[in-house]
Amino acid sequence: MSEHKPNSVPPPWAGRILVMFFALCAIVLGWDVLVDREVHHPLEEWPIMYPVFGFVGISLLILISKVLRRFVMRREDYYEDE
Amino acid sequence: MSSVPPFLIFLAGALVVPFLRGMPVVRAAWLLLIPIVGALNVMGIQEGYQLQFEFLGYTLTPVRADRLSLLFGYLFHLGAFISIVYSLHLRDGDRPTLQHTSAVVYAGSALGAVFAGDFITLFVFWELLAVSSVFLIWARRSPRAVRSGLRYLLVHVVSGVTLLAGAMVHAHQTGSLEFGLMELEGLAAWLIFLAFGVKAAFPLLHSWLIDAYPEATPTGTVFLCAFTTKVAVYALARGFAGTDILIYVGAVMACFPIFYAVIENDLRRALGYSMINQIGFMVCGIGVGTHLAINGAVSHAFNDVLFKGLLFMAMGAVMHMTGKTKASDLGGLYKTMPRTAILCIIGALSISAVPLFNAFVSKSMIMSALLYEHHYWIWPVMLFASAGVVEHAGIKIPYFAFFAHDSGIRTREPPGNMLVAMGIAAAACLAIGIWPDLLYGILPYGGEAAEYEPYTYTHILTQIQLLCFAIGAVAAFHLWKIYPAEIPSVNLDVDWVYRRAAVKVTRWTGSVVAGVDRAFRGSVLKTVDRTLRGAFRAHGPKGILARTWPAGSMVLWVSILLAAFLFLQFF
Repeated sequence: MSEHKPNSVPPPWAGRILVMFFALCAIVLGWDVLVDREVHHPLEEWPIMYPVFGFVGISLLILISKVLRRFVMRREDYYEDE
Repeated sequence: MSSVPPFLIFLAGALVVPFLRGMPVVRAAWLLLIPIVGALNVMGIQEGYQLQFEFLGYTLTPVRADRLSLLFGYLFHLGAFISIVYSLHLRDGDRPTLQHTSAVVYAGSALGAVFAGDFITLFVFWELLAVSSVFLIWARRSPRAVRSGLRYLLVHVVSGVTLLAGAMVHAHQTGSLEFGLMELEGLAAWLIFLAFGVKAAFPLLHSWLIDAYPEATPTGTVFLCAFTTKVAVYALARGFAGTDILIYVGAVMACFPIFYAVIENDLRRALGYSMINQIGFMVCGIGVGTHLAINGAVSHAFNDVLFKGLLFMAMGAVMHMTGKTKASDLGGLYKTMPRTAILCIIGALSISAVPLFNAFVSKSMIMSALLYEHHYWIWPVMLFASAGVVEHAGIKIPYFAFFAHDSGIRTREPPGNMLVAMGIAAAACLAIGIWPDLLYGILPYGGEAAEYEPYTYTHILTQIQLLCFAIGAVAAFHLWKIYPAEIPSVNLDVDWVYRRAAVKVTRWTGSVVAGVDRAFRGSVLKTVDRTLRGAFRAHGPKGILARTWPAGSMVLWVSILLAAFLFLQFF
């Protein structure tokens, strides 16, 4: 194992993958509006429920985790003096 | 029936391993032979077979084979085989004899537990699981691993003792030691439930898992993730299927760890939280209790051994090659470990339940069962937990290890056996995802429950929508630079209670008791001292009672006494 100088430059293909990914998001979003699907739960009756649920759910997860970190994070050697 | 009890092959095989020290090729061949022979043996066991004998007036059943126990039997042989392949590179400095012997005993104990038809057999293997597996943590040899292993052992021994206590009460009440479906009523059932809950990492009882698993050796963690919690899932499915409280326990388990996983810097610990999250789905399915839900729960346990094992193997490979597992230290490894990166991504896609990967065909059974049984409040909670899996296991693990910023670390691919083991697990994840009948065909319940169709238009579309926009949210938070940074740190969890608070309370109690003791002793000593001083004053050299009185004064006192007696004679 050797150590090279760290750098934060993303690889050249990262941008292309992101564009393709957002295009896929747009397609599955449009699909939901255009084509009917089965419904078992009252929430599922809402249009584009799953995309909204996924985006909002993860956003809340990240934001709440950031708040949680303020309360639970300690230095790395916190338990070392056991 | 020519089969032998499945655990015997592993325990007998483990006895030979210490004698193969210094013969790596022979040892490797022997180790591989154990799960292969075991698998052939277990495939020969017929459904309904029982091995029983009488002991102290009770009927013990060391082997009870039905579709539920056989499913876990197949799973544990597959898990043991993959884990053994992954650990074949161990050499002298890694304590291979200790690790391999304890790992084989551990796998045998897991088999013993899932084929146990009575509580005494279950208890014996329950404790043997703990005792054998702790050496996989101690083999790391760091002071942290030693302390963590001790805590792990303590928790699991307590779980075993609780199980035994429950079993004793159960035997006293029913006159039977048979391990079967129970109602969660009365002391016995609650004690047994609690013992299962400890091993299943129920909320507040879970911290042994996130404490110990990341401290084990890279190969040890792969064994650990395959057996202990899956035995607990089996035990819950056997003993408490359809117990309502499990639905809510499972929902909590599926949700709370994902918040911790987002901010956890140690990627193996993040996988520990992810494991609790996945067990939450299984526990929830067991709580729902319908045939479809139980099939979903146990098939998810089966798949979890494969995809979680694959992710732990990938992180173990990174640790083996770089000595690091913290997100803040890693990044950019795809340049020098591309095959490991691809295999890790397959594990990430599998755990995220992407269509054509195995979690998609098992988790969907649990989600469908929740809807079919009208658990309308739990279903969105589990859907949120599903989306959360994508964040912490689907993206975070491969992203921070292999991509993110380039840490500057240049290494190479791990040993071939590690890649082969990861390849087998990845192939199994894909095979079950593409041909779910491979798994559905061995599930406990047949009929309508086994004819579940995961690949419907609605299910594929909604799952892709959920995953895409969950990933989109993570991508957006990264682009907006508000995603939580990876910071070298530890996060307080329930283990803080016994690692810090209990220690402080104990010290405080000790100081209070010492103070009271000091004050009491001081007052007693003062009293004694005062008494001695008084006695000294009276009897010391200058004391009034030590004086030498003249003869005249004695005559005077005798006269006074005689006068007193005379006076008293008149009354």
